Amino acid sequence: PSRFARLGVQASGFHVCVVGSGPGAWYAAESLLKKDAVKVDMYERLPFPFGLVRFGVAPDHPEVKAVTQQFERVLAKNNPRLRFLGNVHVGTDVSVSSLRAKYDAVVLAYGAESDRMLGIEGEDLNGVYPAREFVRWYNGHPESRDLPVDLSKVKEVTVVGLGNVALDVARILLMPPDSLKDTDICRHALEELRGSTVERVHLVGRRGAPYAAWTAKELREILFKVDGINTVLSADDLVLSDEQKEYFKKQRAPSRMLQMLQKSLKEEPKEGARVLQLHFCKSPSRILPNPEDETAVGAIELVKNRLEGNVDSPRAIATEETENIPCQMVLVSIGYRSKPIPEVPFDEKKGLVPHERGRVVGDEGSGENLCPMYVTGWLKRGPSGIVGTNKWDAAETIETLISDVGEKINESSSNDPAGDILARLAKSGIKVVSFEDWKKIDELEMNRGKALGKPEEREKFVLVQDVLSLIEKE
Amino acid sequence: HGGGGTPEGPNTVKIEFVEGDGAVKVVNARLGDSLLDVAHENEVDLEGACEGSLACSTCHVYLPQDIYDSLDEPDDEENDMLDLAFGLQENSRLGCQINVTKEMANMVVQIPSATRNMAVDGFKPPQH
Ligand SMILES: Cc1cc2nc3c(=O)[nH]c(=O)nc-3n(C[C@H](O)[C@H](O)[C@H](O)COP(=O)(O)OP(=O)(O)OC[C@H]3O[C@@H](n4cnc5c(N)ncnc54)[C@H](O)[C@@H]3O)c2cc1C
Ligand code: FES
Repeated sequence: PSRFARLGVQASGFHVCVVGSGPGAWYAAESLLKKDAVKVDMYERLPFPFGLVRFGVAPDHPEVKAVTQQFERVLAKNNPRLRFLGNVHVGTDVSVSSLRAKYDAVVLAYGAESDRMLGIEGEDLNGVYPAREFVRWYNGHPESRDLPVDLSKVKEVTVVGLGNVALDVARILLMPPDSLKDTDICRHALEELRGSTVERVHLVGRRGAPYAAWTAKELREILFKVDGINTVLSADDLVLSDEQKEYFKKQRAPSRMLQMLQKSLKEEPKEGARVLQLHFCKSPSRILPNPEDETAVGAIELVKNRLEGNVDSPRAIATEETENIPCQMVLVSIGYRSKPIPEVPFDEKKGLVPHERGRVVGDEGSGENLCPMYVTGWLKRGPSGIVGTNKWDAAETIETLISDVGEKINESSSNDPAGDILARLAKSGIKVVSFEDWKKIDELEMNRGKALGKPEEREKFVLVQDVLSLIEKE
Repeated sequence: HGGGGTPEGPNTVKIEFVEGDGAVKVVNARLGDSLLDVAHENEVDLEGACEGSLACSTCHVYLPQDIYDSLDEPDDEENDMLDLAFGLQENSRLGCQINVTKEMANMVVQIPSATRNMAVDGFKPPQH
């Protein structure tokens, strides 16, 4: 009962349940709360809020994580109309239909927690991981703490993909570990990086340089701003066809990035630096075992591609030409993918929830007394955009929701919809984590950081049971 | 984020913000402050997710063309983020990088509308 007291009781109003607590969820909540009648409950499966801002964004990008302060302001400003209900896994601990029976609307913002994979021979060898797992490992996600990363046996790494996540993992592997010591990178990862023997990271993309998915800031950072990294690429890879020249002249972002790559060709190599090697128009065709340990990766076979079709988005067609790159680790970074949860329509092909301007479609069989469902964030549009993109995305979704509801927003007067749900969760032994609980954890993490000589940064708790027992003690 | 907003003073000029939903707010802006600071001090709905470190582009604004033309060009770092700004136009700048001058007295700063149709805008966010 004391735990319920801490969560408070929600007054009558128009009750919306938001699933997830990443940027999509917070921007949706912020948009919703502009309507005075609205009350929002945010369900998060972990005892930690903020999704990929905590478990995705790289430790050397603290300025990106500053957005959590905006999110906290949304909470403070709308207290008590917004509640955080952490450690509740929707679809497992509480079903979507039971939420839909109690709330007036549900907004799904549970992100993308699986991967697109290559589907090639050897992908199951030890040392081949989705980049997502590696990112979660250094960022202290409870489910990736035990990824068997042993960098003392790795000299070369191949990262497949040319997006910002690929640049993040390459940068973390290549930069001097001491430059990370004051960040919120987890201790276990920092120790592993200190013992790393990595000398070279290969980034492999199936199409040419102008088609890479990375963004200018991240490219500029790895090419020119981070100490201890030399970039190697072939000047030939930057030669465009006449048609491409004509097309990219008018494309602001890719042409600026091409200029950056041109400029990097002229950089003096730094002494003692590790190497980032860029490979364009190549696709992995097989991952090969290490002759000394057949269970582990030893090399990757790449096939050279030629591009065919539209200049804006050509297809990569494999040629006969192949090459082998020796490597002891492969990180696959070709896109996060959402997972289905029970009772929610899902597009298996695209790996997301189908929608029309944010309203979930394909929801026929649902009962009459179930409220409508909406979707936002990566679950809606796939793994694209920066944190701020989710603001525009959520605005669209919430505009749809508000216009669907119309005048009913002021009529509805159900009492606290979470009451029954919380009682049931308590019965099955699930400890709901409030935002107040999280703030205590937050403070303890900051103290741990200080104790480790990081005055500005936290040392994260990684194990869920540690966090829950700390909250219990309070 | 104090209430009340910036008082008028010898070192302030008036600036008009048009928020994404069309609401108009006329505020006193201290010379030298960034447009982001001005917005925050006066409860104007302009986000600044990275608090002015050029890492987010949520402080994106449209300036009057004459003011835009009178300013130095955005530097590389600002351009990197403008690439990702939603609804980029010729007169787009990042509010955290623009400091108030006397010349800006009575200018109208437009905040991009959040709910303009993304497809119509041709906005293609980069893949991760
Ligand atoms: C490695 C990486 C680095 C990035 N770096 C940057 C950067 O530097 N700058 C930038 O602007 N953007 C960056 N991004 C992009 C940014 O993180 C995303 O745009 C944003 O986090 C997407 O928000 P979301 O709310 O859709 O999903 P998420 O942030 O993933 O949030 C989803 C939340 O839902 C929760 N959840 C999942 N399933 C359930 C369930 N069944 N029940 C309840 N809760 C559930 C998850 O635990 C999570 O908290 C990065 C992304 C990645 C992957
Ligand atoms: S506040 Fe982030 S770029 Fe201006």
